[in-house]
Amino acid sequence: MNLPTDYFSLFGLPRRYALDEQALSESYRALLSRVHPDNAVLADATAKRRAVEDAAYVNDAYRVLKDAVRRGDYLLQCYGEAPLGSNEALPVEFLSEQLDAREAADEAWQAGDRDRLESLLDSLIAAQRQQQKALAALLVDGETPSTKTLASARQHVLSLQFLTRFADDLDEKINA
Amino acid sequence: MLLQISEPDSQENPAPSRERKRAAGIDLGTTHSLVASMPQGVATVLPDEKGRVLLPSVVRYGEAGEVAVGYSALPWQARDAANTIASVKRLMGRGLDDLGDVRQFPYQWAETSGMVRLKTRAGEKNPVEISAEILKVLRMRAEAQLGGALEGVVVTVPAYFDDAQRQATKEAARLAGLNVLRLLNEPTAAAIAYGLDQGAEGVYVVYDLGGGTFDVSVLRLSRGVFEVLATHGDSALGGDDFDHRVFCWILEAADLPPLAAEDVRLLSTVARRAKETLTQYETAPVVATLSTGDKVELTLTIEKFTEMTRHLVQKTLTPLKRALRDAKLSIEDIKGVVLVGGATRMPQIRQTVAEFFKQPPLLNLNPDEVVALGAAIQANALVGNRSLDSGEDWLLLDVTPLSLGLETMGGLVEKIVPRNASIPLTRAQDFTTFKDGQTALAIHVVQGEREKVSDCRSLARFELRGIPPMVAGAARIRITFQIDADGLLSVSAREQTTGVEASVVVKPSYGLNESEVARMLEDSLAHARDDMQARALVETQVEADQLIELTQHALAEDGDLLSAAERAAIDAVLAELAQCRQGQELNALRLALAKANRATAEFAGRRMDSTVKKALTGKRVDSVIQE
Repeated sequence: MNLPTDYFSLFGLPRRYALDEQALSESYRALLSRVHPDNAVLADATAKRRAVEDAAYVNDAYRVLKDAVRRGDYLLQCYGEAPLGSNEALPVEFLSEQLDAREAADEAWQAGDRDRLESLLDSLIAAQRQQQKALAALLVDGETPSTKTLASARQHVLSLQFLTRFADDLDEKINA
Repeated sequence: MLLQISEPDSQENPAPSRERKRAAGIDLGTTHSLVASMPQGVATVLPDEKGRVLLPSVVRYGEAGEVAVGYSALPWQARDAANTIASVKRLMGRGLDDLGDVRQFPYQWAETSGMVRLKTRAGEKNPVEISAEILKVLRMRAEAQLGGALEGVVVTVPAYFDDAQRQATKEAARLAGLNVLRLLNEPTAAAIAYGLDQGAEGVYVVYDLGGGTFDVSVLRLSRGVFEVLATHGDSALGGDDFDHRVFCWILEAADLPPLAAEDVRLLSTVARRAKETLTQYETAPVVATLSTGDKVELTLTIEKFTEMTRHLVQKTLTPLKRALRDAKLSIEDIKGVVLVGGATRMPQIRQTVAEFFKQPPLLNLNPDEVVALGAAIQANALVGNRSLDSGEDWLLLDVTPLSLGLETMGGLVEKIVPRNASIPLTRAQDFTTFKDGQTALAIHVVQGEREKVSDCRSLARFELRGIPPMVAGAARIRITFQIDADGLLSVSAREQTTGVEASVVVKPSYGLNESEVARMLEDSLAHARDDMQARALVETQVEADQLIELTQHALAEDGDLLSAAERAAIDAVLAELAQCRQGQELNALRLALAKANRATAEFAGRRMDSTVKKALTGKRVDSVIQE
């Protein structure tokens, strides 16, 4: 059996940004149970290797789809976009806003102001949700997005990536 | 897929009479080992002919060429230390350099660069061979009681075992004539035993405190899926540390002078017995007569014992918190806590765990047996007996305990696989050549959480050769990491445009020692800030080197595009950059780099124009072969 090369088809999900997490995780478990090397312990070397490869592929696809940034990046690539680069320009307005937030976080960190850090983290999480909502509205199933839509979606994915890294960073500081 | 008609056991063609296959789970422990099976569809540990389920992990090579394992080898530990090996698990996959001070062991070591070898009267023996002796005894025990040869076994390993230790364990089982179905992480095995016994659903924590190591795993059990969410540990913390606290207390309370070696051994034993007594009673007598004739007569209360070991118990909470954080969970999300390892019998451990999780730990299964039981259940499932039992289908999703990566320029680590990633897995990353005409790429695989290669553990080195000469940055070299269901790693490299390939199954002669794993994790967290600084400095240095090399290369080739004054200006900034590059001042280096970039921009522009002209008249390609 050859597994579909498209991650959304692999899990039987519509090709869009909005995600039914429950459906993804159920489909992942069912699929992995079927291809897992546990089923091939008494089989020959070829079947064993095949099982490891298939299970690794399913694990990777799951990792991509369940992650809000990777899913956006992958979906853009499905529409022929280049993968996210490490030095892509962010919208100027967004960037200046975030640099201010970074500064505020650094200050709060230096001052040991835990409450301020927590509230900054809360607003970051809210900002992440907004980006995700925008993406869900832009990238819907059954509709090929225009070049303009794709460009806009790309900005949102980049912004989301920035926010996520910032939030992880803050979370680490708070819990250190 | 091709239709296979000769496969009697495949699901499409069930064999006419489905007989139960003989399978077993083996807990190959530091102090003792066990074997369990499911002869009637219920997991049970298999006892020896005297009804004892624990086999002490001690092997003695005797005068008449006989090999004694377990209780019969135990009394020889003091009398015939060089030929009686205990705790061989600590030596698995280890080199002499990994063991630190080898004088702490009463053995004679052979000179070797790979895994350690011990000189015994039966010749040189390595840890794999010694472990195989223990496994052979367990194999015979199982085969005698199950009535025939084993189809296969599941052998458990600590979650923190690295590649070398896993390979060594698998090798030992093969040497003992066993077919290894799977290596299984010990906390995961415990979770399987509990989960299936209790029909549990939800998130569980396995708290595994052994003789010398502490492991914690967070698992989600849901509709027959055991998903390991995170694993952490402190491999320099165990029951032995509690014994040592009691030992120190005895010295102090009895006001004893420095002791003879035999008295140290005597009091260590007395200390351990007192600890064990306190798991059932409020007080423990501490009574001994030393070789000097001095008598020790003390009473240790549970209160005193709890007080003197409080910091040890507290130390287990740090890895617990980190594992919860890695799993992105809080205490309220935890449905139950499973205790594994004899050391968890101590009441203060149970109390602290109960307070931390705001619920009492689960105590239905014997903490000494639970790992072997889980391994037996997994073995039974893997050989296909599951359909014979009423149990439902279930699936185990485990993770890799430490990050894996590659060395990149400047001695930095590029992480390819983060810790706690689900296995099996394949991860690929593209790299390119650094110099014009580079025909080979050295690949160095490392394991650990730190940013610098020198702070991580080296697992393997290999080379991709025969890359056709191209300009720097043109080659596309894809390096792929694959980890199988046993947690074993293989790495391959392929140049994408030409298909040149090289690969290696990572099989180091020896690997990480456990305290190194813990130290590396500790360090990565403690040094995160330093590492970021160090990384930025090294990256900037690499950038400076590249700019200097490129510019000098360009000057040699197209220096005639510059006037004497322009040339002097560029030489000056390059000299300044080269000087800053030798220092450790990040900001000065950044400044010099920016200056050099600006000063050479005009020159680069002129070269570009000139190159276009040359291209039209036919260009000469220089290829510098180098590694």
